[in-house]
Amino acid sequence: MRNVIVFSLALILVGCGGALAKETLLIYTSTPVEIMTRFEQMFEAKYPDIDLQVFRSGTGTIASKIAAEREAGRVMADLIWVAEYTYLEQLKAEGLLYKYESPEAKNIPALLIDPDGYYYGARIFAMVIAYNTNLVKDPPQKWTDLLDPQWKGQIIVANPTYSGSIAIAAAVLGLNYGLDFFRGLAANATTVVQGNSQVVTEVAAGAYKVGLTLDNMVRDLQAQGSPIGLVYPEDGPIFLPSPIAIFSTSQHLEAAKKFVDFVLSAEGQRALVEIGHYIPARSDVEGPAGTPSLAELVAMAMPADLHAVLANIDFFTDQFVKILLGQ
Amino acid sequence: MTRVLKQVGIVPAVLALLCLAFLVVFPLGVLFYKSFETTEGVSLQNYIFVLSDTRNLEPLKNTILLGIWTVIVSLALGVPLAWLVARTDLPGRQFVESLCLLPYMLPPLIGAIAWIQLLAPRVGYFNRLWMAIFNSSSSPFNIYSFAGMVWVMGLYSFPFVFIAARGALERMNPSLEEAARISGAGRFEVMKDVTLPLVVPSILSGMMLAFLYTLTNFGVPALLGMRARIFVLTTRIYSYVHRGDFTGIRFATVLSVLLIILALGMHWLNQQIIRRQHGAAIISGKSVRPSTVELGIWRWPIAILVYSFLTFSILFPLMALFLTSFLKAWGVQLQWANFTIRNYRYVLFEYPLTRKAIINSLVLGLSCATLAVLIGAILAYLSVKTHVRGRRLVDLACTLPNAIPATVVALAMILTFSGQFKVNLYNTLGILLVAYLAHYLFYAFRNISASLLQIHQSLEEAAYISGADRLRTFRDIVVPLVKPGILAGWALVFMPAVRELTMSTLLYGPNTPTIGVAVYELQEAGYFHIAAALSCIIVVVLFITNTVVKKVVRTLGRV
Repeated sequence: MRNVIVFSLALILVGCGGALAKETLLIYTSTPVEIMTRFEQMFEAKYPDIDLQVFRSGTGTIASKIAAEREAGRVMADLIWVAEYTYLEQLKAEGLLYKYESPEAKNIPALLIDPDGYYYGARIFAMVIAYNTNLVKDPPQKWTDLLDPQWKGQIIVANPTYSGSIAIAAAVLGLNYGLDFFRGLAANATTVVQGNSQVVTEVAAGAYKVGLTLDNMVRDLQAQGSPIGLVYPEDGPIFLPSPIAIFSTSQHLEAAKKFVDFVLSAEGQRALVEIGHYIPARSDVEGPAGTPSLAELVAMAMPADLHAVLANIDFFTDQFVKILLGQ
Repeated sequence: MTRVLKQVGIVPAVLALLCLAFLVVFPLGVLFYKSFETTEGVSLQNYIFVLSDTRNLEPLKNTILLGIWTVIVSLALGVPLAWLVARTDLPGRQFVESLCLLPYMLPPLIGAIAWIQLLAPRVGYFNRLWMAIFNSSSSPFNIYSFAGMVWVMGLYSFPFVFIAARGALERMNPSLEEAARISGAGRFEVMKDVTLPLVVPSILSGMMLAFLYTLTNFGVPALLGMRARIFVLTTRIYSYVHRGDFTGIRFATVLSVLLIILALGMHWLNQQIIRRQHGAAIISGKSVRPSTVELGIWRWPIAILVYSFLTFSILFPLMALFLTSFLKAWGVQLQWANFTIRNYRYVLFEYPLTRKAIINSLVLGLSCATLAVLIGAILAYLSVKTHVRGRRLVDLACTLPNAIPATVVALAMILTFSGQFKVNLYNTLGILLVAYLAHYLFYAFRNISASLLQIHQSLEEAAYISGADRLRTFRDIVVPLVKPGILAGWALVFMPAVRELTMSTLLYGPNTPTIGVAVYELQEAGYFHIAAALSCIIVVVLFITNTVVKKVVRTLGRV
């Protein structure tokens, strides 16, 4: 028995003590795990002295983790990279972010840069309509087309309390179409699941005909040969420039800056296009074939005033959950 | 008091109590305090707000209903199967037993994933088969429903009833049944009037475990219930927690207090049951195996029924999981061109969490189980065999963290062990270990208490009469008799700890993912086929681990 205990304790020590030699950099992100794994490998290959550690989850989970950490003392992460830009605005307002002027800033459009200099839009995607190409010949062309009874029981969407991008989308759609849009989705028996990648999987599998999800995820499944297509709605896709920022409490500022620079660099953006089928933030990097450029996407996007979204996002998230989930 | 402590040894007793305070009392105290804390100070405001919201009453009702239905399913499956395995000449009893214990070994999360493969509307294999056979465009089964939750939850909690009932049936003093037979009672009457009353306390205990298990489970209602808009307390708490602000977490703690009250009720019931069991100690030191009932002409029909049921409910889902793990994508046609081993290659060689997760979970399982039986044994002895004041409280402190949703235990640990009180375990295996220990100590404690209770006072008294002192009695009588209970308790902690999910999702750091987290990450991200591949690997790893543990436990138990 004593041997077992000694052995167990030894194992715990080994488990806790590993990987102390390198400088560790901790990032909280909602980037899908497959994409983040390869991105991490590229970054670490370039900076062998840095051990990038990734905690991946939905923005909701990350926000809770950060809330709990703050309550307990301080935020553990060095960096945050999620889709919900309003959350970064909140963090900024509470003085939790570090102001950083990246040398790469001059290469990306001003609309991706926080005017106060705390964060950069670094992973560009949009909320669009996805459809199963085997089951749907005539996909919806506008958001409001989804309210047509022909889609009853056939629509799937993510949960805004978990996914930051659908939270933003709910706020923007709510500001433009009012709560009637949510009520219409509810009347069409729309199914709510946790995250956006689950939405694309279900649509590709034919469990649902159409879904509200992210354009880059649809392209990812298309590349794997899945029967899935996407429509940038005529009334405007929802533009999501997933921002990256450094925490003011970071003990690894220099390494964190290197990561931000890498993400914004041509090399980093090319990697995001290749691995994740994102639209590049830089004009000197070519986007995935057949997709709009950043400028084109912004031009067609549904209007979204940052302050209005910021002021109303909690309200629309609550209403969305209330109306569509009865919660 | 001093005599009592001499009996246990003062140092281990104090150490165990300190551990209990550190692991349970303090974190829950912090949590309890937080449930009253608002931005404007301490008040009842959180409670008023949460309880006046009708959206919280529905989940409360659902939780209780789900618990009751699950217990009914567990009972309907567990008791007949236990009887067949323990007391009849059913062919292949060993095999039936290991199949019945399989669900206990696997995380309900994997069970839910597997049943989704079979019964998801339109794309589940059964539904596709049905639609192909009857050329129908609508699918008959929908796993995303209350019935679906009850079914999967029932399958994953019936082992609690099964284990309890089988144990009691095997340990039963056969002379009682024989006496009834000799007095002319028929086989049915013996079962009704003698066997059942003797095993009912154990079955009730198993039912309580199944109920608590359902009450606190998150994976099944999350995967199967949320999209059908069926919320239970754990998923409601999850929604609150994921609001992303600290007020949400406080509201979650309020709902947890509700769950604690429910659990306290169950705990009180269990106490009553155990007390009754004490009155009718059914082990009296003799080791006679109860007689075997011959099934006669029913032997093969029953065997066929049992085997087809187990095939359908336990093997089919695993086979579906296995099938999906070789698909290029979820929901594609089952054609040769769509099969691949890429998922396994990814999971084994590219997915960074796999290796870390397996090592972490095994380390956590081993250390948690060992520490839990050490602490649990001392506390059980204090609570059952001594008259120390406050022993009820010890019992309560061991039970509570198991009754609270794991999510909340995890939150309590974050609040307590992230440096605010000088101890910082955040992002280490340490914080997972304390959370697991707090949550699973109950299994070790309960199991060891139960075996202590079953040692009839007469055995200890006999030793005293023969001149042995208390220490000697403890060493020579008590320890050997509870050794199987200790070993079973060890295994009972080890298995769920290895496959833990709910607490891990909140507590894991970049270097400390666990097996449950690794699977959940993939499933949640929509990589159903890759999640299936990892689940299959984990099923194999858990199966091997379980077999080894059982072998070791059995070998040690014999010595």
